[in-house]
Amino acid sequence: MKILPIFLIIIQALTFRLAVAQDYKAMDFGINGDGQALNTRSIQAAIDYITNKGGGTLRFTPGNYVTGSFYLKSNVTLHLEQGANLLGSNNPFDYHKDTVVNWQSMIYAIRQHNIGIVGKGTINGRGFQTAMNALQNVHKGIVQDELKLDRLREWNRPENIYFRECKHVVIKDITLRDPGSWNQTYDQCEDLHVEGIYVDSKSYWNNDGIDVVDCKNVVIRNCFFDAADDAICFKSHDANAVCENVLVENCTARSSASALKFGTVSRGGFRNFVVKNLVVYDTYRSAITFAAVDGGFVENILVDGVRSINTGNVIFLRIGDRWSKGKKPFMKNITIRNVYAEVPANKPDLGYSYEGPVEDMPRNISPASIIGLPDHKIENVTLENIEMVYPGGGNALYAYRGTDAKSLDGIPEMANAYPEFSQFKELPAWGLYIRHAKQINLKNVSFRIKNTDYRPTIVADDLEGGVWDFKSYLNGQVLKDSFHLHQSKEIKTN
Amino acid sequence: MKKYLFLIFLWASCFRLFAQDYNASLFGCKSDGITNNTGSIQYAIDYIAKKGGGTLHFYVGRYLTGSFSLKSNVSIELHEGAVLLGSSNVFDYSSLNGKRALITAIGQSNIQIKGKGVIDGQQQLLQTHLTALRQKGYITLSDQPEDISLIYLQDSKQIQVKGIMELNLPGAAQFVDRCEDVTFQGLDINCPGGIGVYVRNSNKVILSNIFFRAIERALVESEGNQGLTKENSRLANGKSI
Repeated sequence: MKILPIFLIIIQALTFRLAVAQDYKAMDFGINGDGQALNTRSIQAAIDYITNKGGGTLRFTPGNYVTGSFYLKSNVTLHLEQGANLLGSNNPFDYHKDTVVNWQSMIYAIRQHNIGIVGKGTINGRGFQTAMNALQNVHKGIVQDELKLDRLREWNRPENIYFRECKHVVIKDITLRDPGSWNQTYDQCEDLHVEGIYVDSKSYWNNDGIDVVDCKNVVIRNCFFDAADDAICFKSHDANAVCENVLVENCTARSSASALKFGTVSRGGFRNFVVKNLVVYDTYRSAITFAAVDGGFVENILVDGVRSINTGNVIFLRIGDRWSKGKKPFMKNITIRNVYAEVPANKPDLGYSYEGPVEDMPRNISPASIIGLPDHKIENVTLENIEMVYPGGGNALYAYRGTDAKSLDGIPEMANAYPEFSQFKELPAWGLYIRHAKQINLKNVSFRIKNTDYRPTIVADDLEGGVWDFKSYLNGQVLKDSFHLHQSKEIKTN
Repeated sequence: MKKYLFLIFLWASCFRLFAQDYNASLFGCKSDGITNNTGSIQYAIDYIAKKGGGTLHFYVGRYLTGSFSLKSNVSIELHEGAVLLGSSNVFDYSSLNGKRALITAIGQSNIQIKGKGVIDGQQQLLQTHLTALRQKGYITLSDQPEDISLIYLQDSKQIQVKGIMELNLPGAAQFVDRCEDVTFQGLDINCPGGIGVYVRNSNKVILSNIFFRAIERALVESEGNQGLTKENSRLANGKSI
């Protein structure tokens, strides 16, 4: 008699497993991989069926599956086999603008749990053509959009994936291509696991690689991103939410904006991040940008191991005041270590689709910078084991910023400007510029240039405290008097 | 006197009324740097001219194009980040009066090319294409890239080129012939091995606040010029022109 309960438990366990792991073939629901049929409704019907049956996997065998917007539901995983392409419809009217997130997407999940998209297949938004078609709809007068910068606003163009308030999300092995807007957004999700994905996202404006917004417990591992806009991007849209407990590991990023970015929207905050083994190349703006410009904070961040080649700027840490609404921003306890970076003389992303926009010049090559505001200083930043190689050659006749008090004080604060390493135009240093900060430490940091630059290596303005162990070289020869301090105190140099 | 002023004001306000703004996308221009927009741009200019004039606006993006012709009262504004990208295919450049250029104005007036954007001649790619064609004997020596300018103005007046950054064409970045009242202002010209501004047989040409980088010769003044003004313009080594 003892065996019965055990048997029942086994049966129960088995049925539970079956219910969860049941595999359904997409074609059995009439989902057609001919590259012509619009599958939106049959995909939705399949997902609804599977979630109602307790969950399972919807499996796409090789084929081209055209679709508009659909919703992934709890306990359902989409499995895209290698050769299976989920293709975004080119008809803008096949997309829905979800009322919770107020944004267009191909795949949504709103308040669901245990969901995933896995397999070696591809999601291709084909967003460029969709965006072009949407643009003509605006010109026809049948769709309203302000056409800022002669394109639809990013929320009126479809992303590939938009998940909001979901728990236990797995995104694994898939390839993501060419959305009409950002690529994939995870907004206020918990336990998000992104592993081994390949992202080629440079078909149109705002093509970010990945956007993680106000999420908790996130792993992004072994991923590749090639994006027209920011590659690995963390945001905080909600002033009362935080992006926290995040591990980014063994990732490669190429971007025509920034490779690793916190912001631009930064209302709540970012804390407890570990970023390990990041490779950055051919990136137009910064390898690392941390922005707290909307009242949010940045705290307890470790970046360990960065190789940044042919990238326009190495590090840009910035406190600003765009949409703070009285909230006090702060940025503190940041360690960036084991970094090798090369900054080129020419445009780093030349030839990539949707290159970063050439700004209104003139400006010589910009330094890494740590720039707070007079009332909101960036605190306790350590740069350790870092080598930055610059081209030098800054020409004072082309653009000039001196180190006299008047020149330095003349650098605008630009508190409410969009944060970008180039926003201040010419800066007075070629290696590192620090303003409005406390306790900035340099441990074994070296700066190298190949040609003479009219500027010193480091300029610090309104810096209180720091221990500096750094060296500066021109073609291998040590540069003396390589830093300039202005309104700064308690800085110990080697 | 007052009467005249009033008439001038009236004339000016009428002109304003006609000077409309048009987005490049209205005419199907694409900012991807791949789509050749020549047809769209030329249609846009012709259309705006017929409607009484106005400005064609290019916002951030790379707009690939071959040669197109400007028309009276039609201006082009390249906003910050907008790049007018010259085609790398030599056959995309038409020859007008024996002169090849990306942008031409012949017998036109009242035109501005302005903004914080860029005109990029893609010299290296163009040169590669030319070399390949010449090696195969498909084109003759007369089709040298030196013939190609970014902007070619002939028999035109009241032309202003303002604020733009000009890149990469080995010919004369701008070639001015038999023109009157032409202003180049606030330009950043970077045309390796080329000429910044070539002026001949022209009156009242103003060069103001121009920075010439990596350039063979900043200014060539050929015969028959009257009233050429140069102010605050210099080379990368600091020399004034």
